Amino acid sequence: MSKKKPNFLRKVTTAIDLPKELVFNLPRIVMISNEEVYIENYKGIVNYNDKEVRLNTNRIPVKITGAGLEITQITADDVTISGRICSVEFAN
Amino acid sequence: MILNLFRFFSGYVSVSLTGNFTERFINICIARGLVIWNIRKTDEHTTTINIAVRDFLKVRPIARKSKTKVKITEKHGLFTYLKKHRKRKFFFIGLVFFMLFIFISTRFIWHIEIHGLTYTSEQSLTQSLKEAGVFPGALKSRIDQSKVKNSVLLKQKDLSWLWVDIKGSKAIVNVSQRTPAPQIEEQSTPCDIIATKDGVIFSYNATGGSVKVKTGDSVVQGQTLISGVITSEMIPHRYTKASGQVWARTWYTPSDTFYPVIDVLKETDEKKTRYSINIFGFDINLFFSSKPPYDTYNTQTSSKELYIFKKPTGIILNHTTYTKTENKKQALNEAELLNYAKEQLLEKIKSELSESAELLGQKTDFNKNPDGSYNIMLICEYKEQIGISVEIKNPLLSENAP
Repeated sequence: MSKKKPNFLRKVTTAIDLPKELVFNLPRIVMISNEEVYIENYKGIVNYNDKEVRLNTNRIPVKITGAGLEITQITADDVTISGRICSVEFAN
Repeated sequence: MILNLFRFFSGYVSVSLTGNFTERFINICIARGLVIWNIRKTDEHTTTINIAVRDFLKVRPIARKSKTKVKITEKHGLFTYLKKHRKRKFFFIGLVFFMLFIFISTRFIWHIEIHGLTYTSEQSLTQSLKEAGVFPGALKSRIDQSKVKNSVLLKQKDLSWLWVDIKGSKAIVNVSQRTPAPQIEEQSTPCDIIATKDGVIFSYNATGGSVKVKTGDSVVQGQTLISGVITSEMIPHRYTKASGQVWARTWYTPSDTFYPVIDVLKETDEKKTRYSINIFGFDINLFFSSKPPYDTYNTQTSSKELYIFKKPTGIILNHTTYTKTENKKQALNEAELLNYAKEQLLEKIKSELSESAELLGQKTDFNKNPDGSYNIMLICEYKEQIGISVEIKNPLLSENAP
């Protein structure tokens, strides 16, 4: 029963075009070229330096690599990272 | 931008964090709702962050919990800025004067704009407005719009409506003028309609009197076209006011001698711009010599008004550009010369033509002189109204009198 429930919710969400990030509380990531990454629904900073930023999210940790990384804006819900971004990875 | 401005006004500090758990420090700060931004790692153990002044006071327990050392590196914000520059007295005096200047100067009217005048002179309206208290330099608060309206309308009989709108330091006066009553022509004086120039009658439309000419007749200047004396079997001579229009074909033959090389006034690349400022109705020149910079020149003037918060302040910058002009000889070929001569000759007869004149045809005639000059004659045919009303001075001595 507990296994079936998320599948059902996923089906309903897809059927009526609901935004998944709201229903499942998934991270929403917006990139502006390689200059800025904006992440909504994150759950805290794991590791931070100017070459790599690791963030916890509900589902899967996000790793951002690059050079001269800087957290320009941070609130409880969203974070903006700017610098020269090389990659955005999802890795455990 | 607005966020930065808000942070500047409320004040913030740059803080350096030293420790092994700076991430934890940041996470706790965010969880407790403190506003931090611009997080930058300077080296392995040091991070700098910006934090609002009011939030900085809540940092101590977080620092203890995350075993991080906190040190202020820089202070920012309005109060810090003012404290830093508190010794610059004249800067503050200037600032206060500037604010006072703006505040006081916008209390007055500096310009008056009048819209809607058609036939009355602006001068008389300006005078009436001045007497009613609307003039450059008047205090805005003293102007009572409905009083101004009443007093000006009483003085200016030719206006039917007036309203003064005050925008910034500008008074915009909208008026609407009374349509003047039509002049009633006096019908009792006997009049003739006579020809003002020679011509051949083209058509006529007589509404009073008896017509003495017919279409195709040649008339000379002064000839009676429509007579004010009507003769009939019952009443031998009845004097009336002749009225109507008589159209005739008229000819003009202006001529002159033209040389194929003419002087043309041409603009050169030399330019000079002079500025002047109009402050509260006074002109202040921003140049020294009052003489124009060139002997022959064309000028172009434009002005720009200073607006603060979309309101005119009464300060206008005028600039006048003087472009030097030079006389240059220009050689024309025959066709160009004829065109040039035509324009010149048409200009010559312009004053003789009546307003209703309509060009029917034109032709140029020329012969070349031995010295290279041309005698050019323009023959123009016009259709125009040639009748003019003239009072019959002594009806009994009129040419139509018995």
